[in-house]
Amino acid sequence: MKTSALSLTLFVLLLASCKPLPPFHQNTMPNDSGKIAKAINRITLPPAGPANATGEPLVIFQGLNPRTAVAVAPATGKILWKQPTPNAISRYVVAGSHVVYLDKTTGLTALDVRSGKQAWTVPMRAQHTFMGLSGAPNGKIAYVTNFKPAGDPLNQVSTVTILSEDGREIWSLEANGRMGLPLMTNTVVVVPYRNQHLVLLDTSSPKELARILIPKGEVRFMKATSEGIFFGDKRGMYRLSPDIVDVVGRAPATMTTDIHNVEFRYSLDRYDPVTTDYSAYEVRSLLATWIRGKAGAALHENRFVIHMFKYFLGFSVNEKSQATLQWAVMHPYTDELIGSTANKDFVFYAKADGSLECLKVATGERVWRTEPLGMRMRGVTFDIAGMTPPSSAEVEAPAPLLDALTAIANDPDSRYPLAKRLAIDALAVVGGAGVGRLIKMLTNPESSAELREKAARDLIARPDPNGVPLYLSLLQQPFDYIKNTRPMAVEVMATVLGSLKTKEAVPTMLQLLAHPATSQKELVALTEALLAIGDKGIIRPFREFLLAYRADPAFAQDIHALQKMAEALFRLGGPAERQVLVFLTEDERTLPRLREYILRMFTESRKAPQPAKP
Amino acid sequence: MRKFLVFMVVSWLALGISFPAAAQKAPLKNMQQADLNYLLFVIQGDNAADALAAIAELGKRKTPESLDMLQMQLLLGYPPAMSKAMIQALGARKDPKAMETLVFYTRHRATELRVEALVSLCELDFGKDPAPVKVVNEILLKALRDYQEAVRNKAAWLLGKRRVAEAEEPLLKLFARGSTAAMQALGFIGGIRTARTLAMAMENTKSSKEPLITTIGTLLSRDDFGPEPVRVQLVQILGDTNLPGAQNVLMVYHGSGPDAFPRSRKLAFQILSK
Repeated sequence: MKTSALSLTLFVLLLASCKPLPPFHQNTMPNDSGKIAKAINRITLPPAGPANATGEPLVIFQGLNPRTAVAVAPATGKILWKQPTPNAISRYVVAGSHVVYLDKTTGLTALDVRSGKQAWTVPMRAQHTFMGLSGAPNGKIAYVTNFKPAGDPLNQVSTVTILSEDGREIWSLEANGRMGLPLMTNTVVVVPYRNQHLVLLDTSSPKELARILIPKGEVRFMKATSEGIFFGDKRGMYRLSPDIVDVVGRAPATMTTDIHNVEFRYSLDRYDPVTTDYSAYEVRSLLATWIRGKAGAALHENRFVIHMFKYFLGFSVNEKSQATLQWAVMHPYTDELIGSTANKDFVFYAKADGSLECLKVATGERVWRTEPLGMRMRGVTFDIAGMTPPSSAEVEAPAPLLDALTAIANDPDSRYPLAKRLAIDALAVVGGAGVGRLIKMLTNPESSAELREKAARDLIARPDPNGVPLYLSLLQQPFDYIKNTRPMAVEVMATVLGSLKTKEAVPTMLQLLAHPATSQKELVALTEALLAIGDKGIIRPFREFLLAYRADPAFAQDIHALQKMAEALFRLGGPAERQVLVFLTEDERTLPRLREYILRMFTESRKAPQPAKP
Repeated sequence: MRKFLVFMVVSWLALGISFPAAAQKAPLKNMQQADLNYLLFVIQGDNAADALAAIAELGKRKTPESLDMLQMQLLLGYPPAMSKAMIQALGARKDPKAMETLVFYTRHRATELRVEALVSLCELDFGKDPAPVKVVNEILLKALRDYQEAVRNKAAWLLGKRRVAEAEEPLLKLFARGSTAAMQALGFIGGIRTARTLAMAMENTKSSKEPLITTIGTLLSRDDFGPEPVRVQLVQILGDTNLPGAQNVLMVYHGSGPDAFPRSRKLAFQILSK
């Protein structure tokens, strides 16, 4: 009897110790390949076409004031239905036969995808912060909320809830720590957890199917397509596969480019609460169709587009993952873009006037557009997987790449300095910006200060002997108040000609040197250039200039030019020039800094052994 | 000439010429009796007022040596106040040998010195030789395009005073950009185009009328301005202008205008009689 009781007790204890850990438990071992493979097998990937119950492509705009859901058939641009949603505080999400959003008064609200009529609402838990929702093609919805007791982030509690198509709660789970916006499929919900984890759960019951830990990164981005589930951070993207444990130990699929300021934002950041609603991030992302590649995630046709506000830049990627800019498109000042999405060979985007347009990813050609809707929109949700744009006679090719980049860099619209910097950097890399183009950038009055600076740096860094006639032509422009002309880019041209040691530029530069309208900075540049060229023809003009201005207080603050001329006389001149320099040091009227400089030159020359003159 | 002077300056410096001991005595109150060496000593001294007086005295002298000395000192480079005095002294000498030095200073970086050089250049007496006069006029025309307003204004005034007809076109362009000096100069050299421009400006409600009226008065007072129908039009415009300045110009024109244009003068009288 006693033995049986003991055995029974031991058996119960054994059973208890084998009980699986609850979901999100901290002791759950991640990266169990067997569990991961089983979980992946259960995933039903989204269809290749639209996920909504109509099976037709659908675009849902959110009108600005008041907030209104406007469903549009993208093929025609016609409005299907409108439904006021004045208290909407989130983006619209398509989930099967509903369009779901968060209403600040009623909670989660579902609209019928065919008619727009309100179907159901689910109130939110009090004091919980909504972190986002995701919908599956079968209508199930996952949403995450977050609660911080007394505002303490260390003890925050996240809750993931699964609702059925009719708004009933299927299950809800709490966990310590932060959850990100989940990715919902028909059978499995993928929840980003504590930045580095992906937790796969059954949508029918609160069971953790598998957990993946990214050892050296985070999960900020996730996308589900018919080709798989892709996730990653700014380093790159992985594709969820049975061998993911090995894969995440390696570097993700990514691209590199020589162009600075290119942001690789693969999709909306799942931990950023800003993305629960429409925001500027809708127009600041990398647009690409991810497919299954040999080593995991890959780009469709090895192409992607950077969408940056009202600019699009199309890249192609080679086998070494090096991205090369192929085209650039800029929209006019009046255009305001509110969202975009990539769809294999095309990028679709929406404007604030309710119109839709489409670019070809390979070429940047605009191949299609719809008419404005006469309403101002603030956000858009696309459900257009698999859609190709109707054929249109209106195909608009983008401007040649260098022209397009120059236009972006010179865009007077001052709202987007980041895009301008990117264009300037792209110009430097895409290059082929020959002397003519650089000079045009430098001298065009519409060029931004940054573009001028960049062009100046490039011209100086890579002086082109073939450009000498162009450089001289700029310097030979006359100073004429009536015609409003003057020599252009004197400092840059002088520096370039000096580095090229162009003797034929000496007469022009001497004329400029002698002109009263040449500024102090230009004088310095001209003097240094003439000194670098070392033509003895500069001796007399330098001597006359020195004598004429050696006592002029206008040079007291900026004496560099006079000092350089004195140096030139010292190096290149003969005894007569030495006497002039001696006179300058002895006469009290000579500017003190000039006098000291010449004295120092004499002193140092006496110390160092003089090299023999040729 | 300037190259020679520059050579002299350099040679002077190269030889290290020093001043005779006799020159180093207490300043005279009367510079007129000082010799050149002493004047040079004072110019190179510490006393700015004495230096300026010495420069002015050099300007009064008539000898070639004193002229050479003045030019040489100018080319040695002095602070602007002294350079200005030397330029003025060269102008006072009226000696055409100073032309090259003054031309050099018409391109000086200091606006004030450029202006003084232009004035002094116009004071030189070239006799009947038209070539240097033409050169000076070219320099003045070029100065109309200077980026400094003071230089443009002085050039305009000098061109008007010298009655340089070629200046009409650039002066009209400057007038179109709001230059009052150009407008005044046009009174002395302008022709039909100037008359038309002034007439249109009189119709412009935004422009100030009094300077325009004065310029029209200057045009009308010239013997070489015409033909008569243009004068008639200008007189009519003045008649339509209800300003005291216009009445004065008409009175002066009627009273002492050129005899060759009786019709327009008679019209002026009729307007005044109304």
